[in-house]
Amino acid sequence: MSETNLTHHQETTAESHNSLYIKIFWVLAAFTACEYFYAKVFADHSFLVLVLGLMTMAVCKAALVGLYFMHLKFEGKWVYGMLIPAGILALILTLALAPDVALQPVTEENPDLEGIERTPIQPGAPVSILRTGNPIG
Amino acid sequence: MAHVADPPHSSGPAGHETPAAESAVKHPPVTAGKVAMWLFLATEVMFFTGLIGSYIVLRAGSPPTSFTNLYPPATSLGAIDKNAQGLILKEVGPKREEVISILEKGTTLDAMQRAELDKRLLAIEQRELKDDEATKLRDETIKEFHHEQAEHLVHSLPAGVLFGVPQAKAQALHDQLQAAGATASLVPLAFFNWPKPYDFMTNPLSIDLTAANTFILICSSVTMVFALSAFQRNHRRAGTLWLLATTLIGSTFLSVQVYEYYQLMVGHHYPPGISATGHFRPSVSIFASCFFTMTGFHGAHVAGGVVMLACLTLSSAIRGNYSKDNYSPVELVGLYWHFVDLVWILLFTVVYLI
Repeated sequence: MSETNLTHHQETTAESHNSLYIKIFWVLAAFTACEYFYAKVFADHSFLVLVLGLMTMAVCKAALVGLYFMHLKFEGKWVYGMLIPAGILALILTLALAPDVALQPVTEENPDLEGIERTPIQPGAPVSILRTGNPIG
Repeated sequence: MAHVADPPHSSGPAGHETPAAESAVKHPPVTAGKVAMWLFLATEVMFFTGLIGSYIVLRAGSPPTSFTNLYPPATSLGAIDKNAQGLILKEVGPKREEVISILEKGTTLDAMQRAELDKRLLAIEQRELKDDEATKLRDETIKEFHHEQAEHLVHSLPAGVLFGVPQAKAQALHDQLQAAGATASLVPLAFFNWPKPYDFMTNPLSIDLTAANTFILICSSVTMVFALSAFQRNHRRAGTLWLLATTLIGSTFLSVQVYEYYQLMVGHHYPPGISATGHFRPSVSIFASCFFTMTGFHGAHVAGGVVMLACLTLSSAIRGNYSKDNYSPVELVGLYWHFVDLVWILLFTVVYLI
């Protein structure tokens, strides 16, 4: 018995995509070089500029690998039926961490930069578990 | 998926096809193997989104005073002198020996260097020499050690010379070095919420090496897709060679990662802004533990992929299993390998470049 993953139609119309793959490779290489130089040039610029530019290029590269090398462009919609719910669930679960991790109130361990004043800990004030060291006061 | 055989010819009167014949051959749109692999990749999407997402959340929540350029991570703010300065040596200039001599006298040893010196002094004590001989040897060892460390400093520039010292001390050494023809600059205390890329005082990661490694992994993805294409066209020998190339390039990627880990954890000596001990290990900071967790898990996935690719290559070379009628394993392993590449593209950008 044969073991193929192509439908009959795909099998009968199979052709070499090698030239396309080579083009995609050069595009990926170009994007990698662009990312490298972009990060170097904009290292001291606004964080938003850095993030937007680099993530755009990274997502484009990832999309090219997914669409062409993983054949997502030529697969049916059923694949997205698995990937999209997984992606949504993963994002929601990670963002659910944000209030506990990213949105902590300011304590004496992490005051504003100006002055680095020491403020005594208020009784019952939250202290981050991420930082070591003895509380002052 | 088994290829459903066409049913026996079942036409009735000449030219008339029975309903059975019309609907006999139905090819499912996809095989069970492919569904299984994509389902697995969906779980991997969740896994890596969890890791990268947690990294983003931890970084977003990192307070503005988490890292400094002059003190180790997680140093209590009470122990930091607001007016502390550092000194960086940028160029040695023409009078190399004089600069080394100034550095010998003007710098102190950090924890890692002290530990190394203690080891050498212990070795002298264990030799059970006479007191005066032992004292003489100890003094020589200490002098040699200081000279060695000063030589190391000028070996790769820019180098951090002083960290977290009063301004007067930093200024004095700065002036001495400048007078000897070297180029040095004073560095005021600065706080960061996260290590900055390209900042050698807070971030030990080598972007140049890893960018090259990223390119290497992309090459392996291309050779993988060539291998599948070759088998689909029944070019078995070419397919086997492309599989071999993918395995070797994937192994190269892993080797570079191992080398990088070695340099970070053992081989290189980093300034205090990166680690109190001089080594960059998972326990030194939240950045370190995030870095090793993410790249470590990715590396484990790559290792698994390399093992599978090696098995495919051997199977193809020895038994000639794969052809245009049977290339499913190659396609499925290929899907996994491309996914690993895709994750690295995102991981490299998020961890190294931003």
